[in-house]
Amino acid sequence: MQVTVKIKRFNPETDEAPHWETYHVPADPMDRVLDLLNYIKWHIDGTLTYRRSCAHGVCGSDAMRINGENKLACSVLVKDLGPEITIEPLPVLPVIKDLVVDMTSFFRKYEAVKPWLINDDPPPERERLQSPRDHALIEEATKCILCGACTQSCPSTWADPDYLGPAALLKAYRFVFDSRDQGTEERLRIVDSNQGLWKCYTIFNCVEACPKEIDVTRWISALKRRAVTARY
Amino acid sequence: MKWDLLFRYRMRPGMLAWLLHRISGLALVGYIVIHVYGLRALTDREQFNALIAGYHHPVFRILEIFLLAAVTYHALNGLRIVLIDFLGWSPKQKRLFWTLSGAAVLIIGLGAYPILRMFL
Repeated sequence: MQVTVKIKRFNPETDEAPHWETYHVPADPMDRVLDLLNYIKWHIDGTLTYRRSCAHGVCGSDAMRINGENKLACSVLVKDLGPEITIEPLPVLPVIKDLVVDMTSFFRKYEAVKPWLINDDPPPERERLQSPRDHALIEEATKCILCGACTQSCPSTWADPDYLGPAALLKAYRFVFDSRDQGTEERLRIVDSNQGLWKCYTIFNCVEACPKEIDVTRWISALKRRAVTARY
Repeated sequence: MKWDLLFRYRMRPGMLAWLLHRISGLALVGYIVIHVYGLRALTDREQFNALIAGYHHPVFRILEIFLLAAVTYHALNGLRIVLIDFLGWSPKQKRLFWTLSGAAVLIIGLGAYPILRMFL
């Protein structure tokens, strides 16, 4: 089959504003969007710029807006999109070139929730054990690959660039509900704020966008309840 | 705010529910102003009756249907948000949205019928 791929192109060094380019690409229904991008770059226009690394939905490099919705280019098949495909960079992040965005703000928010294990007990001889039951609580949240699709899909992020966003809040959940972690108090101080938990209006764009099918809103809600009950 | 994104980003039930909640919420804030303004006349019997008579105008009748719609949707979706945030019903959010929207349409229809019948 032949697909029409419309890509939003922008080179800040030479262009004044972004513009659309259309490419006609031969494709198999089982091709991924990343295959289309590769075809364009390798056979039609070598200047097309995008990030990709593992190409198997693990590294989280190729999150972009595909047919109006944030997705991973390597995890979406042509058959699920139809013959006309529109590709744009992730919303509201500065564009470095074409589909490559500056993820600095995204990772600043990630760092803000202290995404590491906080435990002042002396390290045991072997690992810190966790029961399967305790692990089940956080298992889904540990699957985040930090692609940024969720945070950039959230209208709260569009309105307030300083909103921590679903990815960072999910990471906070992952450690607050980790039976081995002792940093709950300091993490709750960070997320229990107007630019944290309380700017989540349960819009669910993050859940729709997540390529790992994490129910982000569910865990943010659990963290909201934790933040409220911690005061009493 | 990147307003264009609200209309250009793919509209899924969750975002639609939130947008309608915002719009109906703002509409209700506007209504409260009109409502309280009307209550000012409560101190005078004649004035109050005149005001209420004014509200019988067809334009206000139609607006009343919109008021009913805003209150009904806002209340039912508010319940949906409570269930999601307090009881963790997040996995059921879409079914909740369609069910409660169906209930809202039913309630609005039942309430609008006697109002619209007056025009027949």
